[in-house]
Amino acid sequence: MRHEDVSLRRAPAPPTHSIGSRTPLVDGIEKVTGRARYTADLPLGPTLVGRIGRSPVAHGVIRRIDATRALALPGVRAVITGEDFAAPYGVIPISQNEWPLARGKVRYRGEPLFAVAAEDEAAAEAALAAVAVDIEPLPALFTAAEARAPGAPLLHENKPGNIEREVEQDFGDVAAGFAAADLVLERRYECAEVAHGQIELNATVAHWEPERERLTVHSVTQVPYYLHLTLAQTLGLDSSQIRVVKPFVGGGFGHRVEPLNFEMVAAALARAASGAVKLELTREEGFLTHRGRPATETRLKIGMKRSGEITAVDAEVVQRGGAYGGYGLVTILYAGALLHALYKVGAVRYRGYRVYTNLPPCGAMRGHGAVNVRFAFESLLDEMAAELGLDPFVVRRANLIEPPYRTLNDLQVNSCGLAQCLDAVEQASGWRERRGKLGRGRGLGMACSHYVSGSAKPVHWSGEPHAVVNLKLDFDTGITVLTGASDIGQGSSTLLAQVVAEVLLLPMARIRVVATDSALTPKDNGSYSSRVSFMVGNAALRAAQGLKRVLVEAAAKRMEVEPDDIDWQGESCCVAGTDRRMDFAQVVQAALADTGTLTVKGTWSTPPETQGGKFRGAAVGSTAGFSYAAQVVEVSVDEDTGMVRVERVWVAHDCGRALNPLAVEGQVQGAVWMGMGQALSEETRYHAGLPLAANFLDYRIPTIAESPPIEVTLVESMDPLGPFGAKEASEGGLHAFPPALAAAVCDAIGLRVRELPLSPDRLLEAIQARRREEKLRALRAGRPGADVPEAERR
Amino acid sequence: MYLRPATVDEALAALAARPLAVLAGGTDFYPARVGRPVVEDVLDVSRLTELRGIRDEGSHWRIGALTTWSDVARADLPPLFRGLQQAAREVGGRQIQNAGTVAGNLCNASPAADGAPPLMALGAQVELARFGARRTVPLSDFILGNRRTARGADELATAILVPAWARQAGHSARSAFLKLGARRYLVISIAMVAATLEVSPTGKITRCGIAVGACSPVAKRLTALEKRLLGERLTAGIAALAAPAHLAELAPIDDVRAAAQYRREAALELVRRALAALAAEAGAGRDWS
Ligand SMILES: Cc1cc2nc3c(=O)[nH]c(=O)nc-3n(C[C@H](O)[C@H](O)[C@H](O)COP(=O)(O)OP(=O)(O)OC[C@H]3O[C@@H](n4cnc5c(N)ncnc54)[C@H](O)[C@@H]3O)c2cc1C
Repeated sequence: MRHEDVSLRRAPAPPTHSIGSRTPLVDGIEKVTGRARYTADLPLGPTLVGRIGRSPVAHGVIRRIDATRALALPGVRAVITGEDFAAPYGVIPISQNEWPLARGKVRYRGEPLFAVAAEDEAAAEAALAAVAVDIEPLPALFTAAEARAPGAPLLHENKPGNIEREVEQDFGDVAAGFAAADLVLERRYECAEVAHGQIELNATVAHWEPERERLTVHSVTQVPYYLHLTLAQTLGLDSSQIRVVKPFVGGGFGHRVEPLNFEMVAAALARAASGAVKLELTREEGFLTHRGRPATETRLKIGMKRSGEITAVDAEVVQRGGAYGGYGLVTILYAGALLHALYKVGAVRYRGYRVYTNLPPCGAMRGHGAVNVRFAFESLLDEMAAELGLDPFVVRRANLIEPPYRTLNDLQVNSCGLAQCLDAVEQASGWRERRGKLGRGRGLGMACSHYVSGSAKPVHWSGEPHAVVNLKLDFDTGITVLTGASDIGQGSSTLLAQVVAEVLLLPMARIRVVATDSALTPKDNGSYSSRVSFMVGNAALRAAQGLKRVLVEAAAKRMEVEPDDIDWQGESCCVAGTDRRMDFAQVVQAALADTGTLTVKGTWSTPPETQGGKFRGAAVGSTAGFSYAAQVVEVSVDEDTGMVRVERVWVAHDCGRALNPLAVEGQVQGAVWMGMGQALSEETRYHAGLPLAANFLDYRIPTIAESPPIEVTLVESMDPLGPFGAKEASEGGLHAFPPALAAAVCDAIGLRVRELPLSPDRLLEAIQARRREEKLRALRAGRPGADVPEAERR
Repeated sequence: MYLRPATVDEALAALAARPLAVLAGGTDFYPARVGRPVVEDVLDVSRLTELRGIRDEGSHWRIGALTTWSDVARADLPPLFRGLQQAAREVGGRQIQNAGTVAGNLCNASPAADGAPPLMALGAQVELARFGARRTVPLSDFILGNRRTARGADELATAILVPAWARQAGHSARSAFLKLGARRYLVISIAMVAATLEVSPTGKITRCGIAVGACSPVAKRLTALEKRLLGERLTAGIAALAAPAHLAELAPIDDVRAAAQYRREAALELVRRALAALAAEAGAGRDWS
């Protein structure tokens, strides 16, 4: 369903040739027929089998790793340890404190410690068992509170207090804001740690050619270019010695947005064994590699006027980050930065603490950094709306941003369709007629969210354009799009083909996409922060415009007119107003006659005014375009078992111009659904650092049986910088689900839950706690003179 | 060694000769061996088609050991088996139901086996055969503990025998099954409850079986509750007769799936709902047998 609204600031888009039409994915056929080859399907010939030996303790000093016995076993070709690497790594250049295999110390149970390459699985298993390891255990820290306690042992010598990053940000006069408010409320929220649950298991195939000293790596990455850099750094190679190829990838969701230890381990094994090594990880090892969303505690205080206007925000966020830096400092900065830019807020104070613990390292996950604070923020708005007797929609409408708008923390908002999103879901869900009237046990809740369309500054700042696309057009009259953009199932290859087809007015059949092979395709920073449609889409748009210019000029020259006289119609062109015409093949031939094979490049960079302010950490959260979303969730709650059932979801997403509505709807539904998993049942759990749910039976992703109808409305606010007005579409729909669910549960049974997930046992416990409290209160109320403490008002 | 005999006699002869690990649908067998090769000698019973299917043998029903969950779900059976059929539809997912057998579920003896409560509540017996001999054991005596059964190493489970209910004129019987898991399918049960009730023409409960699973090492009959229900009229009111004391024998544990306290409370609620559901069906004049 498309939402056309004349009140949108920009005129509706003109009719188009290719974009805006529901286009099946260009690589869909391979996927549904099973012909697609994923990394684990590869080897390109016989390979050795790689295996990783992991730490049995959560924290300890490595005294000795002795491979003598293992190396003497038949079929064993190499055993490597942390000593075989040249340098540590970490996706953020200023916090590289992780080794592909632990060195000196181990910091979480299951941390890679050594690795073997052998001729078959049995020999590899035997070698794993034959390596002697001596680790002297140290006290281990499993919660943020333990790690922050005075005197706690340090995970990293240079990180006092086990704090990876402490963020202090103050914008506007928070005290004055609270003083001006009619209601100030403060609450605490807790979100359990979750993992990505991408279906494809991790795998890397690495091939070392000893004669040429060259390394070729096929891997499951979302960031082949960062992987390339990191391989060079950790193996001590020149990057020209390396080729990285990303085959089909079966989902990422952030698990693969940083180079991962096993990828470097596979490469080092291949070099040590002078051959090809295939390293496949189990599901359990996938959970150990982790990089999921950290367990988060949020203390949030908001000041609000009777009108619903937000006067001040004071937030403190503690993230249990796990053992290494990873994306950690970006995550804790996002949590603060995205308190802004969804609503106008009067003043914001933010304190963030990213804490090291002896658990698998957290990282970036869909909705990076902003999901758990959004749960807190929207939940508190819902509660304050109730206190003030306001409809939750009214509160949101009282704080709408009108673009162009500069936030307090210097983020630039150029387009915002949140008002239309709100209208759409309010209407579609029957909110006005139905909310509060569905009877006990059934309820409606709503919340809003937003997200970036690509981080405005790349992680590795090199001064280059933020995106490059090459087009090749040759004698065969087919156009090849050469891109480094990683299609991980989100449909980026399809989108780039559509953009090129649109500009040239050509059928999709003429266009091929060749992607993610560092020997062939231009560098791309990767599929993270929803940057690809916006940035690479813009580069493709410019490349196609460039190619069109070349073709128009060639046609003009051949027909001896000015380029302006050419009426370009794609499969043919003519001299405007005449019947002098050339078909596409003739135009291509004319252009080739001048220069030979055509290669045209398009580039794009985010404008400086969208790259954030000057304060420390200002780059995080900055983007060329914000997406907006609103959703309404309907639930039924079984008060005797604590089971929550999501009956239906209505979501409206402002994705700017929907370049491929079919793909966008799928992405929005996927985002909502992933939010549902976190809200209802997903939770990694550990006992003394040992993961308890490192499989898909106990790590409970919703199945199709729990999946409600998700009705999507696309709001097209037409961003001035996005390609054809497009923005982000695959993350921003996630954040609003958990708070909308909690609000719906509250509407259904009058109980506010401030902890995720709302699993049946947790909810039943809260229901029973309320019953006990009500009894207590009734008892006290019955006794004259007894006072009910205000604190019981929860 | 890997054997896949075509007849039960061959299978029993092989079992008598040497220790063999029995393999049926493999849906418990293989998950128990993830990451390590199968080192035991294997007796694959999947070719023993004579053991597949459900038959009415007058005094009892015979569920052959190789009957899969899908077979149970699809079979044309009287309402007495409604609970077992509900369980069949909730075991794992579709693929698991197509491969997994009822007997494998019982022989595997998981505390969370979905087959145990409905079959216990039906008063089922397990038929065990060894070369030249055959015996039957009540299901409650067959499962001894977590992963422990009364099956001898040389025995094969050949069938599950369910006694006929409602044999007196005008009597009828029906069963129900409720499972609670953190999601609908592909989930290990937090708790499950099965209830079988037989009523007289005047609507009095004349025989009953109530069993709870996943709340103790072995699924348990709630004998105190069963006694309490006998002679009561089957009306909506009977749900309220179930009291916490009736569940005293359960010993739920805290684990990754749920807390013990939650299990206990949820189990009581499920018992009440199962009874209420059966009462509602009686009230609605649904087909009993
Ligand atoms: C993804 C998944 C989900 C599952 N979900 C559920 C669920 O929701 N509920 C549930 O209860 N179970 C579940 N299971 C467990 C399993 O599917 C069932 O217990 C199934 O009924 C086992 O039957 P099978 O034929 O596959 O047994 P097998 O795996 O072949 O055997 C199981 C055990 O019984 C023994 N055995 C089998 N048949 C005989 C026989 N005739 N005589 C003697 N010994 C025998 C075997 O030696 C073995 O020890 C699940 C399993 C998986 C993999």
